[in-house]
Amino acid sequence: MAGTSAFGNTSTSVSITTTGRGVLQRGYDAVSHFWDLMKAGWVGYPSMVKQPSCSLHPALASVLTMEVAAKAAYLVMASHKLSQRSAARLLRLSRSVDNWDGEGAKQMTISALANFVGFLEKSPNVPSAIDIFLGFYGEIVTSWKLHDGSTLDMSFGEHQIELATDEHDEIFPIGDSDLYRLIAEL
Amino acid sequence: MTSDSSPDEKYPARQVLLADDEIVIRAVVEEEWIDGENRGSPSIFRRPNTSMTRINSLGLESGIAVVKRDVEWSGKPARMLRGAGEISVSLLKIVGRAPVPAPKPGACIYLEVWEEKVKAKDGRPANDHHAEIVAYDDPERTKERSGISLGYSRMLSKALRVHAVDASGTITSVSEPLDWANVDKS
Repeated sequence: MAGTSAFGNTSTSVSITTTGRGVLQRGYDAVSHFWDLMKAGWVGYPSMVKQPSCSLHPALASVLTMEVAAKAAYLVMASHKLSQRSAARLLRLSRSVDNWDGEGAKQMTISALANFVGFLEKSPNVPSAIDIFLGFYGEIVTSWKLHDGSTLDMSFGEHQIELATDEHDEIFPIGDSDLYRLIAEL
Repeated sequence: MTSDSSPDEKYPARQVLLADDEIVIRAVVEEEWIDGENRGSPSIFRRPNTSMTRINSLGLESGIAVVKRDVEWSGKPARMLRGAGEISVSLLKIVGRAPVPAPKPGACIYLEVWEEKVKAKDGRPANDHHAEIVAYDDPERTKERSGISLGYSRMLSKALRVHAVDASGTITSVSEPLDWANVDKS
């Protein structure tokens, strides 16, 4: 239920990873989940949730604040699946601003973060300690070693997830179950 | 890419192709850096028209100084150069075409490196040694690609000899190319 808090439910919100929902709607769900965690005393109030410092129209400020809060909530959810080092890295990358490379690279998008968290929720075999990077278009790029010593690289964008190994170079729409079938076979 | 520094009018874009024996370096910033392994992200070549700096006449150390200046120019203190990836134009081309040593995840791509000098703009210094990688679907360069897939970008990243640098720009370590260590010598 977008825009409302689901009080009393402190389990991981499966609805956040459900496909077919808008990113902002899922953001509301993530904030709801985060609020539940705060109520249960599992997490403290995050210092990264800040009001916009500039003067904005109240309606716009509300949306922006909601987006920042949703981003913070997704980061908390990711931290439950990642090692301390990887979670700290993701948090660090979330703070990079537009043009972080001097050539027009975009900051991390909330859609990319939502899709990355959704993937972590659905993929129990992903190691907690993974390398994480920021991509040119604001996507989240990950890399980890497979059992045979080769590397699996992935890119989580706004509308798609890319996967690359020595033998695969593929693009999956968000929610495509073939992605999870392929990863299970690697 | 030259999104915030347009080409110098004296040097129109894509007039001069770099020769195969030219050496170029690619900046690797904090957001793309693998701590511990001292290498770049698998996605550092995914953007269209990746910026490179020619070092045949400059030398490596001076080339890194140019790259560092381009990334961290005055007014952009948040950006941090962590390393520079070195590669020959001939090896760049081989990665896109040759069947060994790494399996190709898809059809061949044809990479070229164009001279692309940039003039000073908005506080960013000029760079007469700037060049850009352009990917094509055909050897005649009639079909330009909008970008490079994650699969090919990761292969290019592995083909780099990466020089890690400290805050002053001094080289602190060197990571040799992975799959492509001996291909360029044959």
